[in-house]
Amino acid sequence: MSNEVEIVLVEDNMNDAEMTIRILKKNCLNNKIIHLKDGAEALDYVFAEGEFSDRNILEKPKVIFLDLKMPRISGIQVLERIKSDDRTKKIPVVVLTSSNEDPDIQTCFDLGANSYVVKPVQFEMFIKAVAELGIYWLILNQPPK
Amino acid sequence: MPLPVDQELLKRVTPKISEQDKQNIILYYNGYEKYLSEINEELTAKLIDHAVFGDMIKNTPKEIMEENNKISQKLQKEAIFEDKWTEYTEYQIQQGIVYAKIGFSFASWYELISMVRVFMVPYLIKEYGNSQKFLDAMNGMNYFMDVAMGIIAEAYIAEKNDVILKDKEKIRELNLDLEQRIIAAKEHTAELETINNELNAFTYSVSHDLRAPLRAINGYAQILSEDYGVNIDDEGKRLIEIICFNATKMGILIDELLAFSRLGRKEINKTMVNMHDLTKNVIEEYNSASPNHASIKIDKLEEVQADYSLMHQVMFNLVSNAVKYSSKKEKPVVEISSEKKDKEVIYTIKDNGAGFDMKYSDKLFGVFQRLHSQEEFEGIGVGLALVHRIISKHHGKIWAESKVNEGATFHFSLKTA
Repeated sequence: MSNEVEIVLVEDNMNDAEMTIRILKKNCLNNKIIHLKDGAEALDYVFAEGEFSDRNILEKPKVIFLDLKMPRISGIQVLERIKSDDRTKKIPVVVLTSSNEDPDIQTCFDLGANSYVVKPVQFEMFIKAVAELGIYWLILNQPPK
Repeated sequence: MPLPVDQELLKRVTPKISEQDKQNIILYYNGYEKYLSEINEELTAKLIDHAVFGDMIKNTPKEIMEENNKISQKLQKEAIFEDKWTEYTEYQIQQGIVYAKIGFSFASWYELISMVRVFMVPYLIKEYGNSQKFLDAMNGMNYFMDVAMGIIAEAYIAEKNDVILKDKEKIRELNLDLEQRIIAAKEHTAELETINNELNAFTYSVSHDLRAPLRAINGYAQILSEDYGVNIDDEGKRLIEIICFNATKMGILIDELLAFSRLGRKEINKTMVNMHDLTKNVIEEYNSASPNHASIKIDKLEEVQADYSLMHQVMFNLVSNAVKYSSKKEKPVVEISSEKKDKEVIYTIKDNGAGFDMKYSDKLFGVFQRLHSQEEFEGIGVGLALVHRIISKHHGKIWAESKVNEGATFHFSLKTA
């Protein structure tokens, strides 16, 4: 069993991150989660640069959960870079965000997002959403090699 | 008539009469004066039926006409015999100004003078016979009348020009005013655009930034309960529950506020809406989200031209209100019907619930206005405001009747024509 990371969680809100990881752990999907705290870290990780330059860029995670509203480099910019590079464009990216404003949704799908999920305010709903996402993307979905 | 006379004009048009002309005019005037009453009678008789002068004669009191004639005669005589041409000219200038002011056509006046010339001929023949004196008198008459006409014409034109200049000035001022108003309107529009953009940005922020902390409040309260539940007594659990409840409620409040504000900017997209199917869907949706024991009856509902999603919102809000406010009754009943009228369709939603006091009915559709306390029935007070906004956008009307504890009936109309 490799040390591959299966879930990349890009989230600048520490509370949201903690709750998401907790839920994923509870559903036994916790083994290989990496939490990146902003867009810059996310890009460094995905493209094996900066502090992640010893990573093998071809080892792709099973899914990236991407928040949109982050300081400095936004989720949209991260999405655009991942989806426009041949080496990384096949990685499923699930936009997981608080915003359900339509312009964001349009832009994300234009850029090639695989899914757009609005984080619910109610915790039970949030649990359900994250658990279902985890199960779907890690177990059900067959990622390309 | 003491009308001010332009001194420049007066100097310019005051005639200089040669001695020969003076004598000729005197010849004419002597003949004129001799037969004055006959001439006036004939003239009046001729003019009474005239399109322009007839009315003037009929509407001017006899005394005034006689007074005017006296003045006119006096000035003529003084001019002719005493060379007081300036005074006479001033009088004629005033005539010209008056004609211009009252909108007399100059042609009418010329016509009148021509008539007098024609009348005079037989009287001059009578006086002087077929002689040189007759010819001289004719020359004098024509010269005198031409001079008078010339003065009146100059004054008439000057007055008209004056009016034109004044009108031009007024137009210029109005144009300036208009230009300023256009500039103000453009600035206002730009301001509104800015405000609208700021509002969009604000809404966007609210949508995102307020939800995250709420999620945290909800989530962590839950985690607390899950992880430390064994160490928390019932009272503690109750307190945690209240925290969660309020966080959730605030989330709903935000959603409703956003929906309300977004609605203001939304374009209406009209299609033929099957209100019957739409309402059935709404009821299914509502029942699965909020199970209840209300009995909802739908009549066959009329189709109507409207925005589908907005009508969905309207029916959803009205149905949820009807069910909510009748939930405390043993047998809550909601009846939905419609009626086609001449140029509109009226939809009615009736419930047998708590009703409201009609004396507060003007608050019914106000934002955040409620006619019941949170303890009686929970709610924010945005549902009906939203419905009212949607119906207004469709140029329809919404109203309600009710009696406390005897239910409420809501009607809204949509135009068909």
